[in-house]
Amino acid sequence: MSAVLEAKVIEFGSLKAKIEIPDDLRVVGDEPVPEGCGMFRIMTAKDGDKRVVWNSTSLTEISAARRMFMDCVREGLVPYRVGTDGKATTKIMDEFDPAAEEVIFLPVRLVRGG
Amino acid sequence: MASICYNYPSNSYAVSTNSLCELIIQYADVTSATSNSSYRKYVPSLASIIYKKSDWGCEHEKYPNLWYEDSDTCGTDCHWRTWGSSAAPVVAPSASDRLREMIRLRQTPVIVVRRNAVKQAERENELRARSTLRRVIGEDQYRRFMKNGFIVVRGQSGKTYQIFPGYNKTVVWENGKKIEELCVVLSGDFPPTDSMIMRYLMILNDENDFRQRANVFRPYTSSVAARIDPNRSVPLPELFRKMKAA
Repeated sequence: MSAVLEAKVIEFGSLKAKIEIPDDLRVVGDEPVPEGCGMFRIMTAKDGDKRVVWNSTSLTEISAARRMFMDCVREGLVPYRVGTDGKATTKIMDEFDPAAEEVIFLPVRLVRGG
Repeated sequence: MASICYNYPSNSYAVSTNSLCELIIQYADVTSATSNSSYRKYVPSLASIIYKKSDWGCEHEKYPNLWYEDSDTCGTDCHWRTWGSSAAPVVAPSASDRLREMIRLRQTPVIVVRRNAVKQAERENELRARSTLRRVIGEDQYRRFMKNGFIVVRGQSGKTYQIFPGYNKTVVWENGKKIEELCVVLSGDFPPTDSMIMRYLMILNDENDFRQRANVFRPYTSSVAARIDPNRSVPLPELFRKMKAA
């Protein structure tokens, strides 16, 4: 049974998107990213961000990460890539890149003028 | 806010203090203090309190004529009630005692906290958001954020954006002048730092999109400056002298 991540992606109502976390990927806490692994940081109100790690040398995990990446994008989360030096890049990811160290998913639909 | 009350046969005075041991002397009516049953325990100051338990509450060993507000616990767990509306009192013990107390308090180390410094995170999600911010903006800028309470990012248009956590407005600077304030929020119960990450990433990636979503405000300082009464810049002694002469 795969874990399911619930994230609010629409401003009004209590509707939450359910994003399946593939069994091949691991949800981690505050520990640093293991060597040779990539990480999704999915912004949620409950956790601050949910962290999912994949091994970038394992084809199984890469394909699982790609699948999850597509699910997140489909639900309206926008992926921002964090560069190798820790700085955010100036481009939003169009497609999954297994070489990406970290990807931050932002619920852009929740962004509005205050 | 805690209170200590010094009680004397005819009068007393109260000292309120916050967690930083910043002392404010409050004066009020003597009769209301002496008639209030909650002020009946003895204590000299917050800095060095030695209690012994008695049947009726906490009592200070050296100063039996001093008391503090009612509480059901003793020792280091003593709870102080807010001075509040029941404030009473009062008159200081004596000038020499007060002076001695002031000198003693000034001998304690002073803790200086920058007003804008970011407070320690209490919630788990805020802690995680901060670690993400640290990763996104880098160590140097993160340290500046913790010290100053904001981060700075330059957009592709050349404008500089000063981003604050939570629901605070983003201030836009151009050529050293504050030109506008943008209000963009992340709706929902997100931690304040997540809002900063959102603004930082959006400005960096698509500044126009960010601006289109924002409610734009004119800079607050200019409107305040326009309202300032020129008389207010006159020093008070000078005003007093004018009033006296008139």
